[in-house]
Amino acid sequence: MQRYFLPLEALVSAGLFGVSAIFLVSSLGLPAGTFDPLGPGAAPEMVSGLLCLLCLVVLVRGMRRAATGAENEVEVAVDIIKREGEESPFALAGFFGLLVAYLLAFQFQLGHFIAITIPFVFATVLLLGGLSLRNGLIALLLSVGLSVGFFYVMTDFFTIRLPGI
Amino acid sequence: MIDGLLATFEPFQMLMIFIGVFSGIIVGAIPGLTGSMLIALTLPITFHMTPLHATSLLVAMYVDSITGALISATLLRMPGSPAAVMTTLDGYPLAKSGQPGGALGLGIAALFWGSLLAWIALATLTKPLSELAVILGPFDYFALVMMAMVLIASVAGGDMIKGLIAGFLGMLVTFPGIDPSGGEMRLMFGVDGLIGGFKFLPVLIGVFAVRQIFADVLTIKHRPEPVINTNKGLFMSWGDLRRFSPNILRSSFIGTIVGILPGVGASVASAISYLVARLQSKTPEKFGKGSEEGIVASEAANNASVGGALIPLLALGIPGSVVDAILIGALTIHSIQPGPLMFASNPDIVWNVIAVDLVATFVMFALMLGLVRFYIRVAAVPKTYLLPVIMVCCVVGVYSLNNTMFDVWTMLGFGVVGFLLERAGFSLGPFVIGYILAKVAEAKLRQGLMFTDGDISPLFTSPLSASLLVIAVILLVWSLRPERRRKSAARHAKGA
Repeated sequence: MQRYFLPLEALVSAGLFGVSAIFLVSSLGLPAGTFDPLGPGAAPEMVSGLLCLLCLVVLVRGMRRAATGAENEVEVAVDIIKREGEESPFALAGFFGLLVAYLLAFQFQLGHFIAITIPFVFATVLLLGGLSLRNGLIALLLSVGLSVGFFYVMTDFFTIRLPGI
Repeated sequence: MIDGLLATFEPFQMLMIFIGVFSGIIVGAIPGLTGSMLIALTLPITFHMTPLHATSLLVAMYVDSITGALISATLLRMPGSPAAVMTTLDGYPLAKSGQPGGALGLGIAALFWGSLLAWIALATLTKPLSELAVILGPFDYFALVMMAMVLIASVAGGDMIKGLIAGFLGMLVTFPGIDPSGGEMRLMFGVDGLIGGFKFLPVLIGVFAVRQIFADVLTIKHRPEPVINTNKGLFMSWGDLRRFSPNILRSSFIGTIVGILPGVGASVASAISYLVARLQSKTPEKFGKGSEEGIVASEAANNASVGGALIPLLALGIPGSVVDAILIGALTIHSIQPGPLMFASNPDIVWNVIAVDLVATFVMFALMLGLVRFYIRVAAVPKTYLLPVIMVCCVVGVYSLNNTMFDVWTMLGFGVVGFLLERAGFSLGPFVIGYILAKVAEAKLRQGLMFTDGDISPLFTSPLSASLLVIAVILLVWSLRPERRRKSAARHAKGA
């Protein structure tokens, strides 16, 4: 069975087409200008309209490329093999998960800045550097030093308010 | 000018220049970290400074963030910035052949002279250009912005359509919130946090810092193979300077001119001057294998393009590159509006920027020669430890703007968008420049239409705006041409 791959540029264009279409529809509903002939909706209409059009061009281009399925399948397969050795998608997924958890902890005020930042930095260093005693020690020192140091420098020296405080 | 120069010798101002140059070189030397990221992350700290000190720090960072890339390009075979790619081609082979000090010394001398020659252009051309720009009407200015957008999109990543998409997306992001002309709310989709629109700093840090962190985490396994450095040959001799002076002059000239063009940037400048140096060379076969001429051409043009890009930034308020766009945003946050009126409204700031560019060049020369071993050590710090620290800086920096998590989530959202766009081959340069120019373009168009009671015809009949639009159309057609040619060549090849 022939498999078809849609290039990432086409997928991204499809997403951007959706976003710009929402902007276009919303800006069409904006009232006419009070002080100037153009009004608040004209510029968003023009830009989102053009963006829709250009995204469609890239989307169609990508679908046409995907239509030459066999050739494209080889291209994608080679690309994956080539990248397998040097890219770490699991590390990225893990990092993203930790980051979202870190921000959610601030959003719902689950603790003090220091208490939330120490586990985030500690876990991130271990995730990216691997589990080892040396790495664990560095992670511990870095996470405590950074969180405490950052807290005092920002709040006392720059008088900047930190999240979670 | 003299006042501007004297002001830079005030102790705190000098300290800001030193910190700016030092941190700029470090960030440039660490592959994956960029000047855009550094300026964006430093911005919240500058809120507590006077505009003069803040501009000194940011301009020093801006001028030298490209400089440190020479170190990682030469010794780690990893260009610290895209502009140092051409340096890697010859710098690394020369260093590997036993002359790391010589390779670095050539690069440092070339970027010093390149920077100095571009400064002469900056100091002499900016004021006349800004005086010329004062006569631009709203339609002329709108046409100029449109031309800049097309130029930026056409040189970004080679795909004109993708460049335009990124540029228009950047423009679209500026529309939600209060309409600056009429004061009406628009495109808020029921989100209260969007009353002030997507703010500059969360968008910027998302697209340039968080996106870069994601990209670095993805390639965290990749370890560069370093070259052991020796300082032998680090100082360029007078004989070498005489030998390379035509190359330095030519490459600096190319760099300055390319820098003045909106959106083209240092990477194109270094590529063009490298190719020209190769064409002019008596030993073109050495290029790519450790040619000294290649390093000189690339580095002189790199730094010259930075000084060149400051000219349209100060005189017209038009960014010459991505970092320029960020610098414009940073200055705007400090209530300084770069553009034709800056010489009248903020003469102290504009002359200070020009003076800082000169002083930072000398400071950079001294710090590069004196601390090269330190920079190499910093550049080799594993990203495993750097990335979490930078991520925390991003969160704190963005949160401190308004003490709201909405900005932090905006930053994360734009980080993801930037990452996906880059993976899909969309250049982020047009995005940020579109974001900066959209407000100017909309304001000028609406202002022009108010003057003419809704008549758009002056946009096409005024000689200046019509010429600029014609140039934009020619650029558009010209940049779409190679794409069509490439496709037809591919079709022919398939047919055969």
